[in-house]
Amino acid sequence: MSDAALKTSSAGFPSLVTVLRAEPLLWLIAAIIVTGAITSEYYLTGQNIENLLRSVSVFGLLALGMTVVMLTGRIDLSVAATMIFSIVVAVKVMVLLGDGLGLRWLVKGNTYAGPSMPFLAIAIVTGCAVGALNGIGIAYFRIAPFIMTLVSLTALRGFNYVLTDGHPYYLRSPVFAFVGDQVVLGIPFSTLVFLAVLVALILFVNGTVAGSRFYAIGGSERAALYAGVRTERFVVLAYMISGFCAALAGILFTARLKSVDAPLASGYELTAIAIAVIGGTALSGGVGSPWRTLLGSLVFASGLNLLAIWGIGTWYQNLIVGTVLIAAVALSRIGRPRASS
Amino acid sequence: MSAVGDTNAARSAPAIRRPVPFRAQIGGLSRIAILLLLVLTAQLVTPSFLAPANLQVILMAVAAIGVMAIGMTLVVIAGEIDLSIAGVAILACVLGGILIPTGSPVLVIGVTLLTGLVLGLINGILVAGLRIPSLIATLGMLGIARALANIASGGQALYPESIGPYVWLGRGTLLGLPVPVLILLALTILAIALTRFSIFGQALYATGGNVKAARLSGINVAAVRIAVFMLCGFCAALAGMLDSARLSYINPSGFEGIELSVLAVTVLGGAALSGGKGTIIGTLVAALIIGVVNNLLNQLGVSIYLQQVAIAAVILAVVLPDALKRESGK
Amino acid sequence: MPAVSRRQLLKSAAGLACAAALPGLASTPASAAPVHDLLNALIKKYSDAAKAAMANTDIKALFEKDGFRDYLDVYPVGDLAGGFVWKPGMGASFTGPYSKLQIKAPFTDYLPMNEGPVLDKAKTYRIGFVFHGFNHPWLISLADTAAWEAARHPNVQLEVIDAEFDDNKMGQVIDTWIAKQFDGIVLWPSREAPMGPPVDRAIAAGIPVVSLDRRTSSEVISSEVLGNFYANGLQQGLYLQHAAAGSGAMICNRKDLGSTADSIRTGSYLEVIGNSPDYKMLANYHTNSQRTLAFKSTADALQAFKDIAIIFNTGGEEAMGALDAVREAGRLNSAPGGKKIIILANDDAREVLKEIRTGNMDMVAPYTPLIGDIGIRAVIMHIGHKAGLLPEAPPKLILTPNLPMITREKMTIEGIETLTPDEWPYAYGPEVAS
Repeated sequence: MSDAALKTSSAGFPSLVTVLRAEPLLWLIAAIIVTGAITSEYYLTGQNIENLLRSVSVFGLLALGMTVVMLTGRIDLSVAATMIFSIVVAVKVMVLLGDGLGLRWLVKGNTYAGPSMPFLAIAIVTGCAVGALNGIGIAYFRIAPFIMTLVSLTALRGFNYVLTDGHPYYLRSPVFAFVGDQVVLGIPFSTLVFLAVLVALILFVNGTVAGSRFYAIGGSERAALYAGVRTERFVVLAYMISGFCAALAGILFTARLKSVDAPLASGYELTAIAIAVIGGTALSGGVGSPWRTLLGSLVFASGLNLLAIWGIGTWYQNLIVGTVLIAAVALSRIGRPRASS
Repeated sequence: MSAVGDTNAARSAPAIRRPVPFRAQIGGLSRIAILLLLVLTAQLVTPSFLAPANLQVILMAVAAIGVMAIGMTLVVIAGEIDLSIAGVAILACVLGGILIPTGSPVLVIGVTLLTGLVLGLINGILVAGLRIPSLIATLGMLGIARALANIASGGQALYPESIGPYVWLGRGTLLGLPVPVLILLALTILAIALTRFSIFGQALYATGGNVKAARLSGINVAAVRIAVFMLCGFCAALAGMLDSARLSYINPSGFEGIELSVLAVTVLGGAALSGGKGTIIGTLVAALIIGVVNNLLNQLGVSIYLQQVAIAAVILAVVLPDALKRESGK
Repeated sequence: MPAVSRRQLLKSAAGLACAAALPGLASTPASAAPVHDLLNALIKKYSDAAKAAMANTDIKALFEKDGFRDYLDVYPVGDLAGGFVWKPGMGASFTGPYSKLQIKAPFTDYLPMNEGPVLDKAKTYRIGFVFHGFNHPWLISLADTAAWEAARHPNVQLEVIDAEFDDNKMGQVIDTWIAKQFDGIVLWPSREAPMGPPVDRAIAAGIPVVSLDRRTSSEVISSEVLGNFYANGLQQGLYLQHAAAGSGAMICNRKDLGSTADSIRTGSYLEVIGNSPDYKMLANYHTNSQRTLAFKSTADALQAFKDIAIIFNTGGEEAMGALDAVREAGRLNSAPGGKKIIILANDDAREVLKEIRTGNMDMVAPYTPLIGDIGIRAVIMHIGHKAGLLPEAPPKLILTPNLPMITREKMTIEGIETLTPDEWPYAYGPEVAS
């Protein structure tokens, strides 16, 4: 099956023909793009393509992290809250640091005016830390993944408000402008970041022993245990990857909005799950791949982009999204040999 | 197959379950102990906590979410999940609400509950017939139902004030208790009977515990699944109706995000998302725990944002001992 | 922006003095001067007093903790564009295109525009209207007026999108309209900060943008149509002083922390009552415009405090939720001395007005959503000015007239004559049958 075909080619990439034959999603994406080009003069404009690519980056990153976790048969509900939390913590920590050094890094109007690189580093570290906490709670304390990440989700959302007092922080330095707005050869910088992470994860998951452990744990955790795999460590690693992706998504997201605000990104975790599942990732674990998740993200982003170009009202958009989600998964079940139950 | 990745429990694959012994039925003493501890603390902090008026406030606040959680518990015992309850609740209330001008309580209430059953049936067919994982099927249904509720109502609120029996469901009293609380109690008793004493209950636990074994012992797994989603849909519609009746207000944007709260209560009550475990009383105790914490924190004027953190801590505090017990027991 | 407020206020105050001397302006039910100017003068009076001192320690502490001063200082208060004078009774009546309800929009003569094709008659102008909460009564009425205005001009095409309180989505919608090369954009932002960059991008792409009610963080936006938050909170405070004579224990159901609606309304309310030492602040809840949350917090507060005399609500939904909780607990007349709990509300929804008529709620300060049409006209004018077809563009700050409060019986409080529910034709939302 397609996953195996992709995997056995170790670190290399399969031939174009094999890929096209194995991926119905590619046809769907092509169909959407062709439909868009035919029905609207604005579809293939630089601006719209830029919009489309941008929307892939944030949701795509969340979905990539979610895919890794889902490979182990688990779930991470806290990704959206982590997105915002990591940025809020970065602001708070840097301002505190600045105060300690006698520098004012929060200027009038709640604008962050301190150095950007340490800021980004703290955000990433926070994301990984949240992931680690989730992973430890799940792997070592045996708390069910749904509950553990629901707890993180709830706590982090609460903290976002408490730490910010409901006020936004503005992020206006040139670094944020670059990350959020810069376009390189027609491709937004944020999409390049997403692609870099995608490639890294593809190589990791397909090409390293550690990567294959995720599939093993998801496929049959008992078998992996008996084979001597220290499943706990890999579970923690999976969640840390998810947290890392969430923090990175948060950086791209807030850099585009030039601000961070507590209520942002509400409900994005369910979208991330939906995208991962559209991309063929199984909730029970052991099935899925970053490449397929990329396709899922492209389907999702290009589909919504098309509906927006057509000016379809929000309620009908939601109706379509819900129906397509069910239909997409139903169709993929037809093609695939049935897992038990 | 587990509804969501709950592979921790998969490490210990259980055989077919018999009806669960009583002590396990009440969801573990730790939960009740925590509830009592919370109530005691609350009474110390706010001396009027145990006043009948306040207890009534708590029970009323818990009624709707409790009804939904009962339905969700059944679904989770069967090894599935239902994220669509908010959409079902609102679409059911809207469709019933559209019939308010007819002036007929039977029509309004009937259509509301029937919609819940039908939506549950669709969920069940998607999961049992088309083999779509319940997380996705119900997530899709959530979006579809909410969108339909908006479209059907045109985004306008509906007021059931003129339908006496409808409003009575939310504001009336019977035998000295508010009707929503009575409905919650009645439903609890029925659900306990269903899970503990009926063949359907056994089939439920079996399906959730080990599907292969359930099939082999002759259980019609598809029928069980469809039935349980219909029950959950009915509960969602009923809960939606109770809330709408209480406020005398059907708002198409209502019940936002309630699915996570209900799931929190369900898993807090001891139900495992891998299936085969969970009790109605456990869920009810969990709902009361959350209700007590909310009430206490509101009385103390704690901001809703801090309350979220507190709830997360409470969930952790309840779930941790369970998890550690499981670990040491293996 | 702040420079406008103080100087304009002084002008208004001076104008007030002159207007009082002129007969003939007394065709309005209110006192001699337009109610807009009267309220502005009162805003200045209480703001100055609050800056000088706040005798009530509870209120002073809350005021400082939530940082109201910063928000209040930058909120524009001043004259209406083009010297417009508003009197109750003005405005067009029509059926809402979305809500199908009967609507009388008060400000259709503000920045007026004739029916029929606009600007270049041969061109079709595509305007985007993006907001949140199509299923919220206040917001659907906002969309109603915008759609009505657009429909008056055959060569204007309106695309209406609900961003469902996802600020990022609203930004994406605006980016799509930039790609589709729309002619103008009107938006209702939920939060200020995230909306700045998309608006900036639209302006940079040459598309005029007008915001309604809430503000964005963009400094280059074409125009902002602002509501009368300040006058809302002020009148809630004025009524309270009148009805409670300076004392009572209160709870507050507020909107989300950090939002303009919460800061300005609550802030101005506190400015008015801040120098009465006998008010007690029992609890503050942020119920975020949700009826069920306000219900819960009020129900629990009623159990915690037996002496609640006042419930302050920053919105109609909160007020309805609070009232329902009070009714369910049977505590409507449980203020000390067996008196009725005073319930203060904003947002002139029809269901709120019904409660005023029956005496359950004491007053409501209108915050009309029927301002969408102003936004559409303003953006069309901007488009025309940019294309050289109109000599002048509308001002950057388009204030809407301050509206007098509504009470069950007519009364005059500090020169403001209140209106009864029957005298207020502008209520929005469905009628509650009973």
